[in-house]
Amino acid sequence: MSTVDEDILQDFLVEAKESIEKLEELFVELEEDRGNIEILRELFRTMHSLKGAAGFFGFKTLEGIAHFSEDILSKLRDGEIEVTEEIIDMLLRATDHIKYIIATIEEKKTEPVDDNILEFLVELSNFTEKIKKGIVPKGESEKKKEKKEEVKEEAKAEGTEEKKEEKKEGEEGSKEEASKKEAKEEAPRPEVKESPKEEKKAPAEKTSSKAVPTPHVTLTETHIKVDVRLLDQLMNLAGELVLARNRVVQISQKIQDPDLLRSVQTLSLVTTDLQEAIMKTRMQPIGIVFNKFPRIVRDLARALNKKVKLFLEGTETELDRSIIESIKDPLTHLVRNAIDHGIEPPDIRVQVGKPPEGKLVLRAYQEGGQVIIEIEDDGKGIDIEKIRKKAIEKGFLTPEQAQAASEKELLALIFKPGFSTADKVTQVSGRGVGMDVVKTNIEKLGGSIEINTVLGKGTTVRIKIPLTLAIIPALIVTSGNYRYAIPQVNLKELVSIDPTKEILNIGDTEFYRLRGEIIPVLRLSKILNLENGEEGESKNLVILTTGERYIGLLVDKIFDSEEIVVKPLGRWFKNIPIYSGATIMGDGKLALILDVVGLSKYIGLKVEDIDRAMEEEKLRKPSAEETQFILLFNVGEETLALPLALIARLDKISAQDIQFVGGKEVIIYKGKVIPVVRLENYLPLQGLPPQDYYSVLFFTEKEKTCAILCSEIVDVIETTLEVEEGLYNHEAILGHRIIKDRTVLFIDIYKVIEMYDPEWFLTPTKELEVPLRILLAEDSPFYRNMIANYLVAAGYEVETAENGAIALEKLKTEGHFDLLITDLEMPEMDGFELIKAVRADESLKDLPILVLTSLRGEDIERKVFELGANAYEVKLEREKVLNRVKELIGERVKEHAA
Amino acid sequence: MNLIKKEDALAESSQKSILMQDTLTVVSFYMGDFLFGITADKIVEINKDLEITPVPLSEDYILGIMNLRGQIITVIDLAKKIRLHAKITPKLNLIIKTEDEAPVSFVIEEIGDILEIPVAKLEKPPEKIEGLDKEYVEKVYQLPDKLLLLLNMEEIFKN
Repeated sequence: MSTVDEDILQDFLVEAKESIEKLEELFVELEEDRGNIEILRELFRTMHSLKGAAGFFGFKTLEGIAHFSEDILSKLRDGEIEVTEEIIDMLLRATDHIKYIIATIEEKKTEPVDDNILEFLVELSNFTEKIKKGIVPKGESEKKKEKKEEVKEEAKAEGTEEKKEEKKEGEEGSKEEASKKEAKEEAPRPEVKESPKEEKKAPAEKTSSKAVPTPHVTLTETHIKVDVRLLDQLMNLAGELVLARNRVVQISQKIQDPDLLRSVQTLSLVTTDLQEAIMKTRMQPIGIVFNKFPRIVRDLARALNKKVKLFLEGTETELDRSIIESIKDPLTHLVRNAIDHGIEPPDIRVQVGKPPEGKLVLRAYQEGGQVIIEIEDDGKGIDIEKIRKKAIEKGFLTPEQAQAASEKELLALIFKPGFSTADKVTQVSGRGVGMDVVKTNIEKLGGSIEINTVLGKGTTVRIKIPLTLAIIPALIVTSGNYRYAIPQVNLKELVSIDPTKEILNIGDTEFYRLRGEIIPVLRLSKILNLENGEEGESKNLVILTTGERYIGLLVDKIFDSEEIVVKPLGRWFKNIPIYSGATIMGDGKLALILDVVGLSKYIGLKVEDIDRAMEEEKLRKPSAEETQFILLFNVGEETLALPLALIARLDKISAQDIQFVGGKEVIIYKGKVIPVVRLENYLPLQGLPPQDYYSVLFFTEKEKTCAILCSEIVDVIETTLEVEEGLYNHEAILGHRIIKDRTVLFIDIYKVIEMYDPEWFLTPTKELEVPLRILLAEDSPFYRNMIANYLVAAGYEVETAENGAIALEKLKTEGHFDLLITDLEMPEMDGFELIKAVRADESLKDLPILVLTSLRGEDIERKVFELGANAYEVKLEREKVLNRVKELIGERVKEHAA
Repeated sequence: MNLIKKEDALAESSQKSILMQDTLTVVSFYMGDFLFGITADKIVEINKDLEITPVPLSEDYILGIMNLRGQIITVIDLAKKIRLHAKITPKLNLIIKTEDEAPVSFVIEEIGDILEIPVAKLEKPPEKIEGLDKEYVEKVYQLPDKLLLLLNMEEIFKN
């Protein structure tokens, strides 16, 4: 049984227990006040809902008992029979049995299999029959009696319809019976009662002597119902408590009294636990919302003549109930969109080679204080070009802007009011309202939304929302002597920078390069029009995310992360978008909470400008975005460079450590004999003059290590791998570049090692008649040459391309390739687009694709796999790359053989 | 620090007086040379020495927000709001009830007397009041030595 079912079952049990209690009370009341129709009605209703719920869960015995009891109650209620002690007795016994069944269900999740219960059911059924028969004489008309009897017989067979029949009967006979009914109510009462009572008494006694023992169970209360307002109040109080706690903690740290500190620590722990516990009371599984979707999806799919199979994942993920409430509508909208726009009609799906039934996944999971909800379909995806066209048509972008816009930017347009890509308006969607509302609603919850789509493959909408609204973790920063809180949800990372050097200007706006990503930088003090003591003093760059883009926020100081209680600002601040509220800090002072999405909107236009500018700049300077730590070192007078990541270790050795053994120079390092490599032997260098001490670079691969000798280590710098080619035509020199007024040679360490020991990298296994062909798409000459070199060394035939567009062209025109290796960040056509284009091409769709990147990130990894790449590796990890290549091509060779 | 906290009593008496169409209880206060009045039922309390946290980008008459026993309230520079042309030194926070959940605070210079004013004696403001915007004055009342200006709260709270 899944958790959600279990939750529902829990709810049912709670309700059932309440019902039982109510029944018991009411039956006792009824005994005192037998004519009270209200009590009877209440009893009937309670029994009826119990029956319904039991039926829903398939608890047959319970349903049966409740059914017969309900039956008797309905007759009592309608005044067809009189309340007698005997009847109440029977009904109370029924209640006891219900109680027993509920207790068993609670314990074992199933009904008890118990002869006693079945016997009781039979007894109850007979009893009901008797009572029904007992009514008949009241009719006193012979014909009626017969007729009724017949109807009863049928009705019994039909179970639940019985009641209806009964009523109809009553109506038919009402005219005739009208007078008799009156009579029944007054004078003849004893008489009418007499006979059935006697009839019944006997069997009742009989049964009790037959000893169907009434089970005696006491149900323990494990759940109670609590007013939601009370929970909200508790939550607020917990918030206040947290604030008071924060304050006490600060004071205690000032006073530094050990006793005080200890008790404050306890207070702190208890407060946190209390807050969590109270928060938990408000948590509900998202399944409550998810479980509504099977029906919605079914209805929608039918209305649109589509076949959709819905998968629910992570239904047990819990969220604050206020969020659960507000997430329902946006989710419904997104699911509608997925079915209406995403999933294709069955015939079209079959045509494109998909199963006729579309797949829709609703997935929820927790990730670092947030809940991620994904709506994933395997439909036709979103056509970026269509958005581009539509954007121009509807005047959202000029044709030039549209052409320059990135996929992310274009997808963001979907959330703009009045933007719809649906060709026609259907009853379900396409009116151009909705996605903007969805986004607004989610942002109101402090969440964010993003779309990933692959044309032809499907779309995934990812929503991130905080677990709870009232108390959130936030980073406290300062600007101009005041503190501001930034919700953790929006925080990506913190970077310490030197604003005078690392911030670059384009036009009026500043930006910062974060591992290749271009991020506009805002100065908090500037946005807030605050006097900032000294320009350039702020060194702390807080990288924020709005879900769509990153923003760098330069602040004066960064403090700890704190749990803050969100308090609303008054209406006087409604038109300032950059605050989402305020909070009271531990010292009683206030801090404004920054609204990151509002902030990005507030400076919105400028950001668009930056993006444009950067887009252009990116085209001008290929591969400018990838930075690496580069080791600069001297060999004699000359400076060489190579990526630090390729070097296992750096050390210094004395000249005396170098020994000449068997015609080879070696050093003994940490108990191992390591051969020495002198670069001047393989590279056109002047040579290494004798020194007392040498710097040594250790290079390790394939479990072999060598020591590269150099004069000194100059520096380690973080820079891009831009190099100029052509000046040095040497296979182990990848290019040169001027760094700090010196010409630095970027060397290919793999080539050098290969020259030193041709066997180093040899793998004995590959001996193919036709060499396997690899296309390498890589814009940076440094990487391109280096990777190509080691691939060739490993025995592959390598073709290279400077960008995605050229690669695609070569794939189409230059014969068969066994593997495509591609970089992600490239000018003109980037890796993402290249993969898409390849996968969209019929003749290339089975070509294995290996993505090589310097950008490590789960998001990117996920994205490339979504697009259809087969593997993903980091550029500088040569050995891994080669293994992966072997794996991919190996697989392919196998396929061919088969 | 609470200088006045008898709102209940005040509210009660003012309500009674309105009902009787008899007198109005008014809290008076000074700003510059002006004497203003706000009906007592609107006033929650009077405080001083509360720390104000500025809210950048807000209107110029908003001084910021402050923490009143866990409630965040907006602090308004009343002189600026009613465009009073006088140099004043804010000293006190007059906490005023609003229709919203949270009250607001008016920063004023000095608190005056609590007056019982016969409703019948209230007059319309004159055509022109030197040094201040007339629209914020609802009624005036002539005291022996000074003119008391009853503020139009609706106008002040209008956006």
